[in-house]
Amino acid sequence: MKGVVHYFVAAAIVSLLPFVMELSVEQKSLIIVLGAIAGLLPDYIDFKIAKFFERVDEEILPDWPYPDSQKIARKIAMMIDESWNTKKTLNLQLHTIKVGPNLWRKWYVTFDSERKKVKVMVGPITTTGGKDFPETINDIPEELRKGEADFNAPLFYRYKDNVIKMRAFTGPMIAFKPTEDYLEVEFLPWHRRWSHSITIAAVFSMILWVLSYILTLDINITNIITLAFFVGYNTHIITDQPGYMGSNLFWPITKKRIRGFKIAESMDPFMNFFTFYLAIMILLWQMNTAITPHPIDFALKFGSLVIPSIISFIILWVMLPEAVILLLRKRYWKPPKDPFLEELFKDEEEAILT
Amino acid sequence: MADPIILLTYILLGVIIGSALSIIPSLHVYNVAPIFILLAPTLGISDTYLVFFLLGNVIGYSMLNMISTFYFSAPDDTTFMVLMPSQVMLRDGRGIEAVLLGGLGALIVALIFAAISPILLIVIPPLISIIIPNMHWLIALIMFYMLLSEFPKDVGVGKSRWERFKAGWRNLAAGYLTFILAGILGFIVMFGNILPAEVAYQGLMPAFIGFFAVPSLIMNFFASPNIPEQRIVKSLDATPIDVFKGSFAGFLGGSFAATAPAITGGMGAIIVGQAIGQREESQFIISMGANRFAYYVGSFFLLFVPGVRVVRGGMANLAAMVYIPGKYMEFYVAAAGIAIGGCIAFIILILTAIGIGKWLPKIRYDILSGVIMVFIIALVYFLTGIIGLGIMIVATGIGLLPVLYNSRRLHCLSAILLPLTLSMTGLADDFAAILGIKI
Amino acid sequence: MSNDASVRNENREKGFCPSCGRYIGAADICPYCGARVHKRIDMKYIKALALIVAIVGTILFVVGTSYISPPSIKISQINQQMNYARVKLSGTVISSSTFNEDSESLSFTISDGTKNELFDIDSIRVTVYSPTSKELVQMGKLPVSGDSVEIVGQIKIRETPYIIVSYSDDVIIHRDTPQEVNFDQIINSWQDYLGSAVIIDGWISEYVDYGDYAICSLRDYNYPDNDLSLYIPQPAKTLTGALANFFVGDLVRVIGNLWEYNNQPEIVPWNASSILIIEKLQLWTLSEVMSNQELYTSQRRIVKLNLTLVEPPYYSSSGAGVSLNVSDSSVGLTKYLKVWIWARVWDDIPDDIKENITLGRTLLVVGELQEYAGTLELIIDAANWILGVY
Repeated sequence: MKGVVHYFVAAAIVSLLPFVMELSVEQKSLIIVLGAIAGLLPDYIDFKIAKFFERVDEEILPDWPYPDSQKIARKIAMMIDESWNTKKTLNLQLHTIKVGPNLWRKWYVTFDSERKKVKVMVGPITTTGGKDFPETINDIPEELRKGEADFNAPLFYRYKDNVIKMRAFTGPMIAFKPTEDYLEVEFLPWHRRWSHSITIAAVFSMILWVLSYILTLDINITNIITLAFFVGYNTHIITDQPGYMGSNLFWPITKKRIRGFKIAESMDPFMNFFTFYLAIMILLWQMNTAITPHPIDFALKFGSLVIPSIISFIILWVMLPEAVILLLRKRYWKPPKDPFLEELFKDEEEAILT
Repeated sequence: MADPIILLTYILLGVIIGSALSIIPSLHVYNVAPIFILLAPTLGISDTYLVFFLLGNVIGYSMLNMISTFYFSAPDDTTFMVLMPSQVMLRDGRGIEAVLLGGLGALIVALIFAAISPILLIVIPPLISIIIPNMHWLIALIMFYMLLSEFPKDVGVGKSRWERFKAGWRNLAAGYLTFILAGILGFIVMFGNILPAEVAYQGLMPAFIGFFAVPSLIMNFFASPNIPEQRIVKSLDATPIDVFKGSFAGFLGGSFAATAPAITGGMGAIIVGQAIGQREESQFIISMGANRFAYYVGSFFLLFVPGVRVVRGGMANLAAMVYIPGKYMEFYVAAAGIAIGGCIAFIILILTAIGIGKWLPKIRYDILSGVIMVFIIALVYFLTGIIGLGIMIVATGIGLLPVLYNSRRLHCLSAILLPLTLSMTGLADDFAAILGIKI
Repeated sequence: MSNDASVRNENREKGFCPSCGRYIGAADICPYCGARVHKRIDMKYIKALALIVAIVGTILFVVGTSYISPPSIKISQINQQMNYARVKLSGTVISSSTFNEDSESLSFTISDGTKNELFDIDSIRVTVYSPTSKELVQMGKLPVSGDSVEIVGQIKIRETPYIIVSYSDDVIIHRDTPQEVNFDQIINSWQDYLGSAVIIDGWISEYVDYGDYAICSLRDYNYPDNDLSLYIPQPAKTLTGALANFFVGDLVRVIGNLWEYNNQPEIVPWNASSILIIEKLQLWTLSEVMSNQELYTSQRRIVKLNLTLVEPPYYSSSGAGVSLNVSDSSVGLTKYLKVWIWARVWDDIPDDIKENITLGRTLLVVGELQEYAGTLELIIDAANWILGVY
C-alpha cells in the first residue's frame, strides 16, 4: 500500500477505538494523528533509517556513459556463487543510472533458476513519471545492451515478478541468503523485517506508555495513547499482508518474512484508492457521529419505512462506490507492461511480462 | 438588491484585470487584492461589487498564473510532483502545450463548479459542521503527513553507511529544518505582534513572499536557463483517460484543500495524487491546473454559500472584511461567473501562452527576475514597512533551504499550519514558553 | 573520458561531473566519484548564506518578540488594515458574558468611550473559543456589565470588527473593593457609582427566571417605589456554581457592579457567591399584618401567609383578575383579607393548583401588601408565589 493509504487507514482504525472521538472533539486531542503517524512508522524506519545502515557487500554502478551488461551479469553470477560457496549472506546494491534532470536509463536483471543464468539488459531512457523514450536504446552499442552469465548455485527466486528493474532514484538491494538446500534471493532485505513486526509494535508501545505516563501522570490517557499507537502501527503491518512481500510478523521469534496473501500489488492504484476511500468514509462517519446532533442524517425514509443511518451509509456511501471502483479495476487495471522486457526474453520460449 | 448582470460584469472585469496581473512572475493575487480593497472606496465601487470583482481576480489568477509558473519558475528537482513535468516540457519546446494542458484542467473544474453548484448548497453546510469541531486534528494530520512522507532523494551511493545516511538525509534534514523555522516564524508573526497593528491584515504576506517568490527569483537569476523555441501545437498530448484522471484528481485535491482551513492546493494534490497513483506527466499537468483552480476559486466560492459564512483562503479572508454574500442570487451569479469567467480566462490563456511562448527564448531571465525582485521588495516595504521587509528576508533564507537542498517547498507552509494547530489544541502558550516568549 | 578543458567546462555547465562524467544535477560534490564541482556561482556560499539568514534571523525574531507587547488601541482606531492584529484594549463591559453550549464560546461586549466612524460602532464584541472559554469558566473569570477589563486579542473583521481572545491570561478583570451603599445613595446619585463595585442589601421584590439569566428587583422598604433592578447574568446564574436559593421576600446582600439599563440603575452580581441570603422570608400571620396595615401597605411589604379561603374565588367581571377572600386562625377566621391575582398570573397557575383553590382550602402564598380603595389587599404577582394548596 502507498504511504498515504497506510496513514489514513491507521487514522480511520484509531478513530474507531473507544473514547478517541470524544477526546478528539471535546478535549481537542491529537490522538488520531498519533495513530496515523504510527501507521507510517514501519516504512519510515525502513526507508529512512534501516536502509542506510544495511551492510553492502557489493554494489553495481553501471559504467558511464555506456553500461556493460555482460560485465554486470558476470559480477552478479560471481557473487551468487561466492555466497553459496562461503555460505554467507551477501548483500548486493544495484544502482540506477541518472542521465539528466528527471531522466534515468532503465536496466534489468533477471534470474533463470532452472538454467542457472543471470541476465542483464540495458533499456531506454525514461522519466521519473515513467514515460519511456524507446529510441534512446540505440544510444547504447548493441554489444553492450544484453549480457548473461552462468552460476552454479541452486538459486531460489520466489517473487511473482522475476525481473528486477532499476529505474529511478535509489536502486534496490538484493540479498543472497544461503540455506541448507538453496540460495534464496531476498528483495530489499532491510524492508519489512523487524520494523514490520507485531513484537516491535509492542516494544515501542511500552516505551511510549512509560513516556506518556511521565508526561501526563494520568493512567487512562496513557492507556488510550498507547493503544492508539499500537493499533495504528499494527494497521500498517496488517494492510501490508494482502500484498506479495509479506512481513516478519513476530521478529525475533520468527526469522523470515511470512508471505503475503498475494491479493493485490502495493502499487495497484485501484486497490489503493479503494482502501483510501474506505478510510475516508470511516473518518467521515466517525466525525459525523461524534457531533450531537449529527450534521448529516444518513437514514433513508420511504414513507413509514426507515432505513437506519448506519445501514444506508454502508450501502450507499461505502459499498456502492467501492463496487464501482472494483468494477473499474476489473475493466481497466492491467499491471503496467514494460515492452522492453520482451526483448529480454526474446530467445526464451516462456515470456514473462509484468 | 444588486443587479445580477452588473455583478457578472464585475466578475468578468475582475477576470480580465486579474489575468493581466497574474502573468507577472511571483506576483500573487493575494498581494494585489489588498490594494483593490483600499482603492475601491475612492473609485466608488461598493463593497458588494468589490467582492465579485475579487472573484473575477481569483478566476483569472487561477488560470493565467500557469504562465508564470510554467514559463518563469526555477527548474527545481524537488518539486517534481508539481513542476518537473512542465519544466521537462519547457525544455523540450513544449511549454505552450504544457500551459494549455494545465488550462484545460482548470477549465473543466470551472464547468464542474457551475454544474454542481446546487448540490454544493446541500452538501457544504453539513460538511462544514462536521469539519469545524474536528479541524485541529485534520490540520495536524495533513501537516504531519507532509512532513513525514518525504523520501530521501539520494542515489544510494556512498562509501560507508554513515555517508549513505548523510546523503539520504540531506534533503530530509533540510525539510525538517525548513518546517521548524517556518513554523516558528509563522508563530511569531501570528501571535507575537511583530508587525505593526496597522498592517496586520497583511499577516503572513511578507513571509510567504520570502518563502516562495523570492527564492524562485533568486534561482532564476542564477540559473538563467536557456529556453529553446516553443512549438505552437494544434493538439494536446493527452488521452481522454488522462484528462479524466487528471481533472478528477485535481478537482478532488483542490476541493479538499478549499474546504479545510490552512490546507493548500499543493498538499491536497500530493495526497490525492498519491492515493490514486498518479504518475503520468500529462495527467499531472492537467491535475495541477485543475487543483489550482479548485483550490483558489473553490475556497473563495464557499464564501458565497448562503447561511454558513465559510471563510477559507486568503482572498475570502480579505473579502470578508468588507462584505459577505448571503443571498441565493449572489451564489448563482458567482457560479455562472466562474463558468463564463473560466472560459474567458482560458481564451486569454491560449492567446497569452502563445504570445509569450514565442518570446521565451529571447527573454533574459536574470534581468526579468531582477526587475521583479525590485518590484516585490518595494511592494513589501510599501505595505508592511521595514519589519515586513525583515520578515521577508528571513523567510527567503528559509525558503531557499528546500530549493537548495532538494526538499519540499511545501514545508514552508508550516508557517500557517503549526501556529494554527497549536492554537486550536490549546498548546500555543506552551510553545511560546518553550521559545521563551510571552504572547 | 576526455580531459579536454572545454569539454569539462561544458559538462560542468550541463550538470555532469567534470571528472567521471555522470549526471549529478545541481550537486556541488559528485556523489559517485567525490569530485568537487566548481560552478559559475558556487552554490555552497548561497547554501551557507541561506542557512545563516534562516537560523539567525529566526532566532533574532524570537528574541525580539519577547520585547514587544501588543499595542494598546481604542475602538475608534480600528480599521480594515488591522485585521488579524493582536492588540490590547481596555474598557468597560457593557454586556455580560454569555456562554454558548453548542459552540462552547464565550462572548461579552466592551466599550471604551470612543466611537469608530468607519464601522459606526462604539463597542466591540469579544469572543473566546474553546478550550480557553472553558478555562475561563472554570476559573470564574467571567466579566459582567460594569467590569473594567483589559483584554489582549486578535482583531477579526467580518463586515464589523470583533476580537478573539485565545488565552485565559489575556482577560484581566479589575474589580475594586466593593463599597457599601444604600438605597438613598442610589436614588439620589446613582450615576456617581456607575461602574463601581458595591454592596447593597435589599428584599427581593420580583424574580423572573429566564434560564441562563434572571431579572429581579431589590427593594428597600423605606423606598418602596424605587426598586433597584437586579440583573443576574449567566456567569452568576449558571456558570460559577449554585446560586443561593433565594425567593421573593428574602433579604439578600448583593455584591456586584452598579450598572445601568435603559437609563436606570441596575446591580449586576459577579458570580454565584455574590448573592447572600441575610434572612429568609418568615411566615407571617394575618393579625401581624393587620395590626400595622398602614405601615406595611406603604412599604409594599412582601409577606408569606398561610390563608384559608372563606369564600369561593371571585372572577372579576372585567376579566382583570381573580380575587380570593381569605383569613387565618390568628384572627379567628373573623377578619378577611382580599387576595388579588391578576388575570395573566391566574392563567400561568398550573391547572392542578387552580382546581384546588376552592372554598375551605388553605393556601401558602407570598404576596405584596397594598391598599386599594381603602381595603387591604395581598397582591400575588407571579404564579410561583403560590407555594402550596392544602
